[in-house]
Amino acid sequence: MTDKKQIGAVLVVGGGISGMQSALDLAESGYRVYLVEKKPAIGGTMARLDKTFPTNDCAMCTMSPKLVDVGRHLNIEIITGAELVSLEGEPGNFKAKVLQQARCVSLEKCIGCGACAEACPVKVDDDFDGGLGKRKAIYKLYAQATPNAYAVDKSKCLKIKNPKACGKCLKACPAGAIDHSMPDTMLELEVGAVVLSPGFEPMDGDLREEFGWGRYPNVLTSLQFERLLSASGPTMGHLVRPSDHVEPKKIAFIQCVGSRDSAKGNHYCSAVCCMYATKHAIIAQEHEPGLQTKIFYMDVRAYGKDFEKYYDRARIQHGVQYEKAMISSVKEDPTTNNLIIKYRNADGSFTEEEFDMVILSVGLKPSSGNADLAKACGIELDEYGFCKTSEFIPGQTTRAGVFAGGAFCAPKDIPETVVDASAAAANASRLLSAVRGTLSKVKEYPPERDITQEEPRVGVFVCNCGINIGSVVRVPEVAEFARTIPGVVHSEEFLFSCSQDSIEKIKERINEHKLNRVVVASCTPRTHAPLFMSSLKEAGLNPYLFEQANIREHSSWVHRDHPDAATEKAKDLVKMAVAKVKLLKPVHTSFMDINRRALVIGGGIAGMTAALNLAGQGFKVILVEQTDKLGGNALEVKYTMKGNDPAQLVNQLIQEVQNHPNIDLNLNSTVKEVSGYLGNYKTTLNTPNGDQPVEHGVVVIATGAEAATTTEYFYGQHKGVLTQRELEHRLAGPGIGNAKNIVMIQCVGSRNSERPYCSRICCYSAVKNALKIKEQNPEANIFILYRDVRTYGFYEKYYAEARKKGVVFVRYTLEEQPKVEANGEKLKVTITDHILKKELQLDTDLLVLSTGIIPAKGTEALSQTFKVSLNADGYFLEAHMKLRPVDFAADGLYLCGLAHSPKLIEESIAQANAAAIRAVTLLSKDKLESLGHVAMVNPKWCKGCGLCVEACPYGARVLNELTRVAEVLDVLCQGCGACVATCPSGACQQKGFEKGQIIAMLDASNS
Amino acid sequence: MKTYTLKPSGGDTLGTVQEFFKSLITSGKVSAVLVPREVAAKTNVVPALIKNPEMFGAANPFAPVSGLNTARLVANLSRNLPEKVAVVLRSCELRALYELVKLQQAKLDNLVIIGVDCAGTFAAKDYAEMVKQNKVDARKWVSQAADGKNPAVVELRRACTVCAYPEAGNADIVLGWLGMGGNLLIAAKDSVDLSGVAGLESANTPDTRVKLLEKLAEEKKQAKAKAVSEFKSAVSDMEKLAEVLATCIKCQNCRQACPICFCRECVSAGPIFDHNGDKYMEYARRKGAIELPTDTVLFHLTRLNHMGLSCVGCGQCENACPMDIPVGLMFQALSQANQDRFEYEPGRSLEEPIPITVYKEHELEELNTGKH
Repeated sequence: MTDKKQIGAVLVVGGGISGMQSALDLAESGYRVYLVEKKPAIGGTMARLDKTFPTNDCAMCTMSPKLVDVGRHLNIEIITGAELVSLEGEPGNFKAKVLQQARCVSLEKCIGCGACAEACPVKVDDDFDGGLGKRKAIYKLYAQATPNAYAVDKSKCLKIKNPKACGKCLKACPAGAIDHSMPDTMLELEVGAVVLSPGFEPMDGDLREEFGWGRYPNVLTSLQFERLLSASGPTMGHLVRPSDHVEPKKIAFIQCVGSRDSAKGNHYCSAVCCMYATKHAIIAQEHEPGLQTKIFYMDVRAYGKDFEKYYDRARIQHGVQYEKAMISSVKEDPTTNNLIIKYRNADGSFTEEEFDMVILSVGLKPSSGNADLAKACGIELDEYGFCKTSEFIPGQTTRAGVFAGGAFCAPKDIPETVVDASAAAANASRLLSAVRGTLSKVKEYPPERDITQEEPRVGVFVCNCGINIGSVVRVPEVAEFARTIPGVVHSEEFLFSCSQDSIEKIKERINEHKLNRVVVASCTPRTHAPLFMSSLKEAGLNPYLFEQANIREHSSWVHRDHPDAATEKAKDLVKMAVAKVKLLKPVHTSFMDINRRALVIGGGIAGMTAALNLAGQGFKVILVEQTDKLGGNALEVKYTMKGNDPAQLVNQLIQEVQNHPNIDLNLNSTVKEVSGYLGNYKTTLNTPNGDQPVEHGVVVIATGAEAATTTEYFYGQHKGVLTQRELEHRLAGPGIGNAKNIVMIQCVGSRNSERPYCSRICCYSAVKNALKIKEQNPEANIFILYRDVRTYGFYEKYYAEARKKGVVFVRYTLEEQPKVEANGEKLKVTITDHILKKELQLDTDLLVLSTGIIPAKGTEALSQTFKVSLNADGYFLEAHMKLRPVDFAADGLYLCGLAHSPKLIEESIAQANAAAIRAVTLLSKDKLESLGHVAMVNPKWCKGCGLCVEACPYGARVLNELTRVAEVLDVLCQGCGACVATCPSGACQQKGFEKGQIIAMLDASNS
Repeated sequence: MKTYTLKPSGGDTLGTVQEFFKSLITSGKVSAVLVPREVAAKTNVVPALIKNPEMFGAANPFAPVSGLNTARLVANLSRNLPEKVAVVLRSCELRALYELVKLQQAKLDNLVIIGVDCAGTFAAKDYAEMVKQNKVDARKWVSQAADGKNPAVVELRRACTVCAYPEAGNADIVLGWLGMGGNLLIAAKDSVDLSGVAGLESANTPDTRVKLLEKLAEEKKQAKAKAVSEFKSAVSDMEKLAEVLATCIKCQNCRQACPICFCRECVSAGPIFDHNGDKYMEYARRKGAIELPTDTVLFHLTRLNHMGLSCVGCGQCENACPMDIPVGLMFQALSQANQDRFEYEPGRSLEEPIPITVYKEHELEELNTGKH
């Protein structure tokens, strides 16, 4: 391939969290990105969610910074209302045709004020709220939508149907942004690669019509319930029944609606419903104290990282009831609209129970547009209609150069979606690394005005935020008040401060009034400060001479019913902001050179994959493996459920690693010492040739995990007792001879008080090995004694197959565990069968124990070496469970594979690629730039106590051994302020939050 | 641990211990000894760094007076210390030194710590008065107070009445006299080489001493618990605390006397609290009336926040206060809950990190239960 033929741009289809992540990773790695979204705004399903498991973080709060990043990124072009219709060409050089529906609203002109929607006479069911609320025919998808602009629903608009009709929105729009005659356009984009992430759709509520969805008002789908819980939902987060708007006292959740159901739905497991129902129950109880919740389930599949603890918390702390039962009917009491659920208990008897509401945990199905999309870009779908990929090349579609991420490939939760999205970006970036940076743009700014000798001249801009602020706070009064504050030379109100024309006005005013400080009184700086700050920069002012007063979240929204007080508070907030802004000083970011080499620790599949991806993208890699061979745990896996051979994969990876000129392989080596930091690590490796110093810019930790062992059930004492792994070795080798009765016990040593997590892979392994036994000896009797069968996602198929082939699954509980007796050669397993209600005694030839996975030895030591955290179970802890699954809190450190948590090979591969692209987002930079609001030290006052060094979670504080003064590594500092709080002598302060500035705000608030 | 007795010839304990210090130098174990030395009038002692072995004549590590916590001086001494020096410290001084080591203000590399027993000390003024009136004799203190009881009519410093550390147990060399019936005990860590030091006879620690130390510790511990609980019930809210501190003149003597406060300059003395007339008038306008100096409660709470976890209860702050504010008791009472929560006993061990340096996000879950 030559540079000429390749194009350094990537098309990302689908703007949900997956597409956003792919777009950001690629744009940050030096590519131009076209992000094509079918809807009028990006955000996807996550924008519709209330909270997220297992941390109960608010979905929108964690996602909105990403929305802002995508929306503002110079190298991401968002194309909304658009679909990919054809894709021609070859990897590295595609021509994509994208059909963009007319929005009928100009993105440049629309200020998002909402006047059009208020005027629009057409009310339609709001899909975003699952039809629970209404929206107009001209609408914004959701409050924080990116782009922040309205769009015309052409199927509902009266004027589209009849050009002479209506037109009320046209009259209402103050910006002249609406044009009903706007034509659809066909865009032709030249790109080097394509990432597909169209997401999924929730299954229909009426798949199981006997549950009454659509007929009974108080039966909702889980996504509808999500909207009901959400503060931005149809009831503003007030949990009430649709029938009478009364708070429910008792809610039932029915699991597996449309999933694990080959009769009416889909036979795969949707992988996320057990956890989101658990979340719904917990959150609903927080909304409504005393609320009773009951979840009707088949198996509770709490298989992910920290999920089991969340499940425990729901049961034990929140009293959520879990009932393993089949629902036979849901009937409505027409007088109360209550619902009576009739269900079959484990023992075959029936119970009837009345609830105020019933929530159907509907599964995830392929997007309805998948077939068209597949046709448009010439890829194949799988048997269910998801994207077809192969086990060991996850994210690779059937067409080269076209990659897939997120729930397009299979039902999955947010962290896995984000991992897949990064992995797809990694693969695209690897393909195009020769043309990295050829199409990305860099923004130019005018030279900065020196204001250090000037007296403060403050400009205050007060925002109405449409009616968000203006309908409560008397904005003109606040603007008038601002003018009276000493130092303020200009004050003005805007309908929308963030609209393009307002931004232009701010820049004009800066020059017109020679402003050297700017206060915007509007919304949260979290989403909007970057925009306003860049307008200062564009006007030649240092962007840090800015302060934002949040008079929306902190005043108009929370004091809706008290306009007088809200107005006074807004004035106080403005006064405080002015007091602070007058003391602000210009802040200049610092830059640091970066060593473009990566250290990858661990030579298993994850480590090798990460190393190869990085090497393939042109970066040098030092790969360290502590044993004498590559392959790690995968060497112990003899076959996968899908029938692939891990040995083949391992051998191929080893070949590539050994032959890659960019990879420096160190076997029998470990990390001895680490100094330095992001961009400039100096590490000493302990190698067979003695200590070797190496220098590198980033670190990928892929140190794996270990198979747990046990002393239970005669393991190690009786030759008929094996672990699941040992069984697999035998099945792949000599076989299990004439063993006829095989009993497997699941969760040995797992999901108990000592090891409270689920090892994720054991149910998979048991079913896999059971099927292998059946293949070798169809006559064998296999009993799998389980607590919950957690064959999540598409692996449900194999669980069904195992049952069909006669494998017997018997459930046990933590309280009543199987008992094993050994009598000479013989083993006898005793277990109570809850269905048959009697004790089973199983004569057993082979007893197989699923002993699970534990963190690797040395994990704790390594975590101290690199100063990164572990979770309570001893696995490495990522920066954020949902949205930063392969990053550590400190920049420059990444993790993947079993070191993160137990997982399957394909999942490790995806994570390894994801870790690689996250590293590339740094390695591909010319220089590292610090944040502005970093900590600083007054060396005269510092006594070198080192408390700040310990307090810093990012490794950004070091003690200079010569001067005995603590220093700040600007590029690592994330501006959290922990060091400032810890420093007793006041030597340490944070730029933009200096003590004097804060005291000035406090004094202003009191004056 | 190796234990020896030092038998005083003719009951002259002080002379014997002076010989011991001398021998530490002449046998080449250390180059100098930092030890309290009586001033000419014998009304007080001051720490003296004695290099010349012939100059131990006035050294007196037993004199029951304590006008400062030597830990801070030792911290200065310990930095860039080229030779081995023995420092004689009471338990409160030793524990403060350990905190300073953790705060990277002191280094133990070239120090040999001699921990001397302490049955409590008098305030400088009281001690001087007693000396003048011949009511105390520092030469005889070791035998008079050997049972741990205060033989004088004057009260010990308050901090000493609630100090549960009669022995400086963590020292390299323990110099014991409590429960020794007029003899001296030398108990050295195995790492300490005392070969060639004159006058040492191998011996076991007598049971009488072990039992006495246990008894004293227990009694004082209870006394402390009582004092703390009395203070807490009397000072149950911010208003009452403000009353306790009402007479504070912000002279900063307490911080000056505190062995833990290591900042070059206290934040409370910095520009943030350096107000001008307009600010004072603003405060006065808002509240109707303000007392000057302002920010006195904030000053103490800030100090408490900065060093409360490391407070060893030496009580020097209290002795330094010209307004007789019970600063030391306040610190002990207000630090107790935090020290208990982290099971942190300041100065107990160098192996125990100061809790704030090892704070993890997922600990203290009870603080994170706020609903979002």
